[in-house]
Amino acid sequence: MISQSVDFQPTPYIPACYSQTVEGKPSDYFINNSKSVSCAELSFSNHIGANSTKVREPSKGFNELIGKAPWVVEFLQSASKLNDVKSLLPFYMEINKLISHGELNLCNEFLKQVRVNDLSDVLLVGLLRLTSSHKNELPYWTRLLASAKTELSNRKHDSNAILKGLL
Amino acid sequence: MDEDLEIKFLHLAWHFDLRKESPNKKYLWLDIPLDNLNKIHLATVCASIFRSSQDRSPIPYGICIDGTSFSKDGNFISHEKHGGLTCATFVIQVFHSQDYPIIDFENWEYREEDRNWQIKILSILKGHIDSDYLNAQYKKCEESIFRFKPEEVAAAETLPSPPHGLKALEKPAQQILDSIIEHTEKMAINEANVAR
Repeated sequence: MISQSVDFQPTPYIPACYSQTVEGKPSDYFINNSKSVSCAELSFSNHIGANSTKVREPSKGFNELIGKAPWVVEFLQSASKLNDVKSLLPFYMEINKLISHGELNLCNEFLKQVRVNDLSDVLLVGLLRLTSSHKNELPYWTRLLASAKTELSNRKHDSNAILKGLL
Repeated sequence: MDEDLEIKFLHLAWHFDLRKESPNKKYLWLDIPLDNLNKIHLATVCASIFRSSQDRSPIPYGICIDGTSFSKDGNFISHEKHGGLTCATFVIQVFHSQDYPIIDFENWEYREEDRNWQIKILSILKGHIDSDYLNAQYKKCEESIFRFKPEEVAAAETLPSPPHGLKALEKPAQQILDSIIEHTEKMAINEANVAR
């Protein structure tokens, strides 16, 4: 039985540049199409309550991702705090939809945008297991596996045991 | 723990009858030697499977595990007509769908007694499923298909270093079965005392 919560406090990182703010629920986000835009910014509050900002490289892939899957914005903002079934389930259902609808390019872009130091402990293994059946069609899956392994070790977890079956 | 943060257990009770129920004293619990991260992940997958089974993908009961699986979105998949799961193979496929194999199929065996159980369970299933489906199940019986007993699957989840073959599970499975019998007898005595 699951009786313990899993806590992790990520270290916020400092943005290099800003161009737009994406806050709140997915439906609230907006895209600045100005030519001066050089970066996309996600504002979020991490689970220790500190506000921080993430910068995303502007790319057609990322814009397409959040255009077709706006839940990604909320996911990226809250990924460090998703540590129980209630908070994980809506995003698991969305990720599964990408796969079952054959949106593997979008799923790959999603994996590309994920930063392991922003993920909760559960998501470090959960994202990999959820998407492993299509890993050969998701070029960023292998990169995520390698970085998740390192991140789990950095957080003092037994990465080999946790990633059993995936390595 | 489910999405309402309540302890529940998910089990395939019967044909198209996946249940998420609250545990009571009738049940015995085994703690799976998994880290908390994978436990929470699997619990979320279970919640996803339950939702999918309610919405669009009910799970049929079938005696042969071959050709069955779960998609990553929790939908039951049968790669052949008339595929289904038992209460035990349901658990196997949940684990295996997440690349966490608990059963070593290469080291499993067909036992003559398996067919007796399969025929018995199909006689009970009769009346709950259509005749085509039932006939397909009987046909599978003739192919000497493996049976995975609930206590064997429970042992496979519980022992370290999965996946496990049949030989490694025989003794711990028997211990689990003995515990269940003992617990059932205690429950019966308690109920009888209450009824007096």
